[in-house]
Amino acid sequence: MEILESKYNEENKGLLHDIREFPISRKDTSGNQTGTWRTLLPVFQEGVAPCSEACPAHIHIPGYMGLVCEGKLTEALNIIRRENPLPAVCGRVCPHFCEESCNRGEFDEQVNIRTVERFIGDYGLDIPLKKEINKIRGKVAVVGSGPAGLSAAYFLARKGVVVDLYEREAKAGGLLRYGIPEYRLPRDVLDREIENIFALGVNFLKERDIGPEELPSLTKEYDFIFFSPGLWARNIPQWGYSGKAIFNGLNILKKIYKGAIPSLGHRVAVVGGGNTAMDVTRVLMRLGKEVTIVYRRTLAEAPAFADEIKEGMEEGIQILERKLITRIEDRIDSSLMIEIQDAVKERGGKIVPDGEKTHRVVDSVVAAVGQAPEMGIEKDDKVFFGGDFETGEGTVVHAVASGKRGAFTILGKMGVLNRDETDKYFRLTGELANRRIINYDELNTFYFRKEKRLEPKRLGAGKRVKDFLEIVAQASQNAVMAESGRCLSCGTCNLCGACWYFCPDASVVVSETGPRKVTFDLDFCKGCAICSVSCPRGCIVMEAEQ
Amino acid sequence: MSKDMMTGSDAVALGVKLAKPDLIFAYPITPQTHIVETLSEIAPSWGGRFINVESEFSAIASCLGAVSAGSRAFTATSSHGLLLMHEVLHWFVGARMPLVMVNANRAIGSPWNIWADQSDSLAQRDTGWLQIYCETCQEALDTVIQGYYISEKLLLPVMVMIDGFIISHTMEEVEVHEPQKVDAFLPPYAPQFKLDVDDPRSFGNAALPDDYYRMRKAIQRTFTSGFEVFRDCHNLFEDVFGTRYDLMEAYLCDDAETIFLVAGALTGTTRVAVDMMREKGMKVGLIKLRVFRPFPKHALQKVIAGHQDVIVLNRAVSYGAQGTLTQELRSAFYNVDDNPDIYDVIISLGGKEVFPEILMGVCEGIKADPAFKDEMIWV
Ligand SMILES: Cc1cc2nc3c(=O)[nH]c(=O)nc-3n(C[C@H](O)[C@H](O)[C@H](O)COP(=O)(O)OP(=O)(O)OC[C@H]3O[C@@H](n4cnc5c(N)ncnc54)[C@H](O)[C@@H]3O)c2cc1C
Ligand code: SF4
Repeated sequence: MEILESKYNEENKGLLHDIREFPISRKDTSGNQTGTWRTLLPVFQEGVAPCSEACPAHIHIPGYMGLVCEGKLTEALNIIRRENPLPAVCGRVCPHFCEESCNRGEFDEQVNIRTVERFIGDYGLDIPLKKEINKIRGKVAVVGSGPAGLSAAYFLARKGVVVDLYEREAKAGGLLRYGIPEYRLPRDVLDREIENIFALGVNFLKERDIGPEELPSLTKEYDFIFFSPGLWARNIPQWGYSGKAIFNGLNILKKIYKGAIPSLGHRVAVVGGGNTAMDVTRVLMRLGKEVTIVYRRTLAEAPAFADEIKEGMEEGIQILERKLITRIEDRIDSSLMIEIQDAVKERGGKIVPDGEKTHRVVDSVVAAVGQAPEMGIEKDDKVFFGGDFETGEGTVVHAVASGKRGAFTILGKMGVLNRDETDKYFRLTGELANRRIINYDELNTFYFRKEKRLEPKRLGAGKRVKDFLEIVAQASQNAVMAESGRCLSCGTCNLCGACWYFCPDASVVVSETGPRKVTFDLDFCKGCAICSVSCPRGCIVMEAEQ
Repeated sequence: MSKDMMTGSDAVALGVKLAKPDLIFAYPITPQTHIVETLSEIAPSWGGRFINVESEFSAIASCLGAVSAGSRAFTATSSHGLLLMHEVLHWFVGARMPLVMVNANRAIGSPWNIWADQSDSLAQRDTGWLQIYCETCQEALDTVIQGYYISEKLLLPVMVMIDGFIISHTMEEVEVHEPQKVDAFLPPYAPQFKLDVDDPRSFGNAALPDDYYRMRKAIQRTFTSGFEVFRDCHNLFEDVFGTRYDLMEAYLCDDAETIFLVAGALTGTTRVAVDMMREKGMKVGLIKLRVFRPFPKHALQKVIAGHQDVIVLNRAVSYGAQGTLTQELRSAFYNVDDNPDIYDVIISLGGKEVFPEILMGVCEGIKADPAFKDEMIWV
């Protein structure tokens, strides 16, 4: 037995601490390879953000958002251009399916991807596109220079393919030029983006109408043919009228854009609820006409983009919902009398006129009732289709995606494509089974705080109906950088280091330069999954240890 | 040297500022709030960081992490906050980590009571923390600085007590030390053992029974030998700052028949009471117990031996037994020949007012009836 107190003076002189009194291991911990306890293995695996998945062109949105918020605009532009040569156009007219499925919407409000894309697109107008391969590798004819044809031409030319782009009209752009109004897409922006594509060495052959009869000679001249002539004005109903005061909406728009003023009179009735109906109405209002839309459903059911309807309503469009024109007659003063009835849905879904007949006097009727293909052509292993012609009425970005898909398929057949690139593209398009979409519940939102979505300035409704000036203003670079900082970077590691901070065994290695951004020291990783849980963006998955 | 009027809370904050801890983790609680509020504002002034954590448990656990990694740290709490720390208080001692924590003494619920008593800190008696009770704002400031000196030498944590409101919220004149002097007194924290990625070692890993026993014994040994460090600390402090502190202070004890034993701010009141009684010719004195852990048993024996009565003023009770201080003192006199009669007085729980007259009444009461020495006396 030892009585400490009485002895302390001799025994404890000085207080140099001895390792035997301090609870510390004598040897270092490297011998204690805690990795042997592991039953679950952390695996760094980036996933696909729902926005990228929803975007038909599968732009790597979190990838460029991360660069924009660091001010690396050129790098961001290159990421977009990997998938889409028309960001300035799409930043304006694309309905942005990406935003609809943006995870941030479940947290506060979706990221304003459109505004960021447009800013980067405009930034790139002066920056030439890059050719990746210069050597000539075969020859392809592209028919139709709408977004589908432009996109196909770009992805082919980039790889050194000689592209002849045939277009019926004098200028390229398709519906971008002859459908979408200038107040939504200024023509100088469109021109510059097209010029950039042509500068890659695309031969633009204007005013060349290619019909089915030309096909045999084209197949001889070219290795492949990409057909994207779009859809054009469909035959319109006449409502029992045989005079000249009924017009096709798409043709009217085309005429106006070419500089002609159509003789429609002052009072115009527009029939339809799609984008053409909205655009033609708003264009005619800007020309001083008194326009009334007659639509057989309600606006809420209309296929026109929500933004278009909203802006149109702000501008004061007149609309008769759930109405059908049943008859049109000439009047002596060369105006028209239109007879209108309620539109009622029959059993089986057919819409028929019913109820009281009312009458209205107008000077002309513009029918905007959809588009149809103009020609019948057979697909074969040298002839590929794209754009609206292939799929029916779509959107610009669908057309861009189809051009890209066509180009990639052709490049694959030519044997020019490196495997990686096809994989990258087709992974997103759902053709590789192991892609992982990072949905909201896979995020760890602990790190984020609520922030308001950026809303760019717009011209006031009263002002904008007087001219064709662009409605939506460009946002400032600071605002765009801040907005891109709202992106949660779903599925894309942005080296935030949360895993590194929280790993209790100091087994996470984060590297900016390595081939993988995150690796694990498996000698010590116990497989606790803290890294996986702490990752804000779902980039670390746990797998059963073999 | 300059003087200033300040509350005990600000005096503590000033002491912390002069000791320059790298990291402060705290969660506010009445009556400690002003300490951490002030620190949250001034920490950057010496390059320290104040981190507002989500609970007292996190505060003390974060301190443990910070100190293990080689930083000097600080926290302050009170009452229920201290109780929430209890588990980590034990761990701190076993881990041999130095820290200074200020506890603003406050009662414990239920029922709710935010006024001063010593139940909170005395309930931590057996955790192995060093405990020092302060009487004045100046003493609070000085003890914080001394706390780091002692703690870092002994590798044991120090709890510095100030009475809630009575010290924390009351202004007194305080001598503001020059930083160079504090630097001369308190060397920077240079731990012999710390977490180091270049020399990875396991801290606090499982120990077999024999090793565990040995390390526990080492803790007790450090307590025992710790008196030397206190002595060095007090000597050096006197050299540098000119003020003398000791483990305890004996006031007018030499010829006293009756001695009050008291800790904390109640000492001030008792001093006045002793002076009053002396004027009346009563032979009374007072022992201010400053250092409660390690318990200065031999020093107390020396001062008290030969005197007739000791009245222990307890502000915490070990229910079903005795006042906590009484227990300590009685055990110090077990098996000692010349032992006094020790009276167990429970006074001022939950901030109940004490006036000098009350203390005089107690003294007269026990003189009148010595049978009180077998009772617990609630006044
Ligand atoms: C009024 C209107 C507004 C729209 N607004 C939007 C919008 O805001 N956002 C959006 O995403 N989508 C919008 N769309 C849809 C979008 O414009 C189309 O989905 C897209 O342009 C289709 O692209 P494409 O390349 O397939 O065809 P098109 O754009 O139609 O281009 C086809 C091209 O082929 C040419 N061509 C046709 N036949 C021949 C031939 N025989 N020989 C040579 N050349 C030929 C045409 O002249 C035309 O240039 C709108 C459509 C309309 C009608
Ligand atoms: S937060 Fe960013 S990555 Fe996630 S869905 Fe929205 S835009 Fe895409």
